[in-house]
Amino acid sequence: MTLQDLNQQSPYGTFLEHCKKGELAYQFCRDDGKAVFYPRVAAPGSGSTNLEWRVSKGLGTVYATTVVYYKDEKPLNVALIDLDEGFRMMSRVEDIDALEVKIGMRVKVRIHPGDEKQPPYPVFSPLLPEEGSPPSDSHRTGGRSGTSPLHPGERGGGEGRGGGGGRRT
Amino acid sequence: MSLKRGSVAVVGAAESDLGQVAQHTSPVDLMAQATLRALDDCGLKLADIDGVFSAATQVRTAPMTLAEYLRIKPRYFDGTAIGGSSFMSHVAHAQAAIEHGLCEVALVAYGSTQRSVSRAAASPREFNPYETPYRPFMPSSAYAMAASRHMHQHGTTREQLAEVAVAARKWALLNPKAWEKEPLTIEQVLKARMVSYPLTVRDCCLVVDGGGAIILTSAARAKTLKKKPVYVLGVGESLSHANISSMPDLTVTAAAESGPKAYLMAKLKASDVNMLSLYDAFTITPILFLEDLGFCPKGEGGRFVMNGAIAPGGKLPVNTSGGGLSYCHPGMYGLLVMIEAVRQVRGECDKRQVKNCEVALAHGNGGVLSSQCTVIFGGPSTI
Repeated sequence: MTLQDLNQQSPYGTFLEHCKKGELAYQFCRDDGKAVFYPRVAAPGSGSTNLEWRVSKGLGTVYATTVVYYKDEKPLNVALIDLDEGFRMMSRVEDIDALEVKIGMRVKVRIHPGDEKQPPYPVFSPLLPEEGSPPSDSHRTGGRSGTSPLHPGERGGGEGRGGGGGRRT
Repeated sequence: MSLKRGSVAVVGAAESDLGQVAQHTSPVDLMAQATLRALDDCGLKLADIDGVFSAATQVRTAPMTLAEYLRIKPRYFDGTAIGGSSFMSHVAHAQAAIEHGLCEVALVAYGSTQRSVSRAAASPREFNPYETPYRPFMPSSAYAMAASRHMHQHGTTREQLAEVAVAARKWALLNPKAWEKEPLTIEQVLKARMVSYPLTVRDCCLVVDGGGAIILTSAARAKTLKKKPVYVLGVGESLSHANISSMPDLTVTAAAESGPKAYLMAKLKASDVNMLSLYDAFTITPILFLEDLGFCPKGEGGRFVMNGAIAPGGKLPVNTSGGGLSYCHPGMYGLLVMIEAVRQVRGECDKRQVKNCEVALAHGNGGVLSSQCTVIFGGPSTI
């Protein structure tokens, strides 16, 4: 077993290095073929350290959404996004009115540059219909809207879902 | 080995002063005040306490700090901190400790001055590099996302969420200790200031000061004390995640695990419960818990609460104190959730008393739907 050397690099540190290159990175467990997110020193549940970093294609679907009303600010979207590779993350959908972000909406990642206090981080924008459809194995689990590719509770992907989505780094 | 139905009982229960406390009052002042009241409630003395259970966002070492303040030297202590349901866990752990003779008289206590010092100061959020950059207004935004998902999957409406707040307010108007004193309509809930869509400020719990204490002892000793014992018939605890982005399904909580555990131990089912005390941090939470604890099918919670179903005179009494939405919500509300259930079983609730209340279910929620703990209380007829 080879555990990550935390004196050298942290899981978030690696994630951040990818963000700086404009990439959304996640881990992939070679043992069970499942995506792991947020990044960890070992796969949750199994404790496997047989993890590799992959770069997501950045295509996903809005799983849940809210709009935060901070005083004297324009409404702010916060959403949970299910990535096609089989992991979920918090983010926000930009380039659209915050209240128009709907569950089931297809979205695509880009890396927000951040500022002095906040390092770069992934955000999403709506995907035009021709830019990418949900993974082909998920049509059977469509939600109420007919556009949601993930069934509630069904995440993390199986062999077929997690395997081909990203590229190795 | 499992815990024994009815092996311990709540013998003392009391709130501290609630609402807005005097400047410089500490959370431990509130814990101690509630403890003395709970001791008076059962006739035990400070020196009788040999087990201390506590958690508080403003007191990192709550059992230790409270023991110092009261100068008690507990044989057993537990500072399990899993958010608002910590105190249901404490009851379960106190039961285990009492059954095993590790202590005999257990104190569970809580206090918060979050209104006085501000919520941000009382409960600073932990930094999470995968969530904090998006600036969710936590915990409200997590519950708002759960509501968004429930609305999407099950057709739940904002009006149905508002029904929960209106029912709580109607109960609160029957409780002299409740913070809110004015009636509330569905329209007012819907038109209130939006916090995190779809939740307005009236869909969110109060931010007030307060605390409480309960005292438990063995069933045998409980029978010798002032008031009729309120037996712990069943307990169940479950954790499903810590951060909302790691919750497996935002429409199904771990109450679907803690509830069945508690029912199994109590040898009871949902239809045996006379009154429910459900942690209502937000209007979506009682809807989720009614489903997950077996009072209606999954997805039907919104429709279940319509037309005053959980309000006074409705088909199921829920949160008769007025709940975290209208009575009191001092940061971690679980202890007060149990105090109301205990009082209902004792028959101490005056205008809001549920008739023939022999079985009351108290359900605690912590974090962002993260920890779920259920305690079923019963009167002497249940033993």
